[in-house]
Amino acid sequence: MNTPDKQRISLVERLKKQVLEQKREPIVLEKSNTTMLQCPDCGAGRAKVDGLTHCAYCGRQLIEVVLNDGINITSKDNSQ
Amino acid sequence: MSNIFGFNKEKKTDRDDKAQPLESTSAFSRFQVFLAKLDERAQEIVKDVEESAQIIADADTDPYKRSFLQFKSAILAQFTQIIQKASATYQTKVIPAARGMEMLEIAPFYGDWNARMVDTMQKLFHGVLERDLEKEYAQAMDEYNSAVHTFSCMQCGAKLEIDKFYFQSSYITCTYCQTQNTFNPGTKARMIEHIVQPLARARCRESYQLYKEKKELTSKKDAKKEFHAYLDALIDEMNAILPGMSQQHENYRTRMLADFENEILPW
Repeated sequence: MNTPDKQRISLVERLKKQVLEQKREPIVLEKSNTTMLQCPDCGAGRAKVDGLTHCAYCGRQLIEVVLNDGINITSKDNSQ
Repeated sequence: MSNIFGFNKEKKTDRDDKAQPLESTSAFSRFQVFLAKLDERAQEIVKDVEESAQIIADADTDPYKRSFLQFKSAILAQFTQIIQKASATYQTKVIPAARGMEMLEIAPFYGDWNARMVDTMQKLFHGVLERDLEKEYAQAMDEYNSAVHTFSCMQCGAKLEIDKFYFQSSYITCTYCQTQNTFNPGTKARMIEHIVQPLARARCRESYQLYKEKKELTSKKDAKKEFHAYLDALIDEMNAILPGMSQQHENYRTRMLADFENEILPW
């Protein structure tokens, strides 16, 4: 049996209570940051002028993808 | 979903109906009483929703307002249930029971009731501000602008010059040692890509209103100039919010213009 108090709570009130008490998985917000890729063999950094896919010093392949024209990168940035 | 109306208790209702003398009242008057009761329940929900909806939307801390959307869909389901119940009763009980020319009165009455109820349901959440996009955008940009000045080159330690808004990970070249640093703008900046259209539309509301007024006064064809002006303002806003995507925004303009010229589409 519902108590008189329970009966008085309207449908909208019940739904309101239910949704506000609902436990949700928190959304993890990632902060802005910078990273850098160094050649694992010789430790050299990458420079756009030398091409981004291979180390300019020892020739080791740094990324496997072939770059194509995008917003900030163009196909010219592939290492020759 | 809880069923407050006892809609699934049809068998019991049938028996109750049979127990009453059917001939005592006309199908129309019984249907009017039934719709009035449904109307009363709907109005109770509307009243409560008007009081609670904005409070729930504001209290919901989830960035996508999932709790509020859950509440909204539950209320809309209740409204749909009311409309469906009226429709089922009309189809299965009222039409077979109507005598003589009674349907001439009942059909428009039910049609009006149904249209009014659907209209109420559609407008129920119109006044509720779910997400303040302008505020979200301002917050994200503030965070971005204060963070971009703090980054240094990972190779030589020189200050990195991030002079424009990047909404996706991008290579930033150190002006001193030419090293490529990968800059990740963070989740909030990334999310701006998803709000660019609604935000730009909200900012261009006035030019859209001008187009809409002209269209109503004349015709869609005659309001072409206003529509172009609205699109120009919209694309400019989108380019200002999300630089680097002008080509995609131009594609959007082309599609909108093609839709406008397409006479088959109703909008």
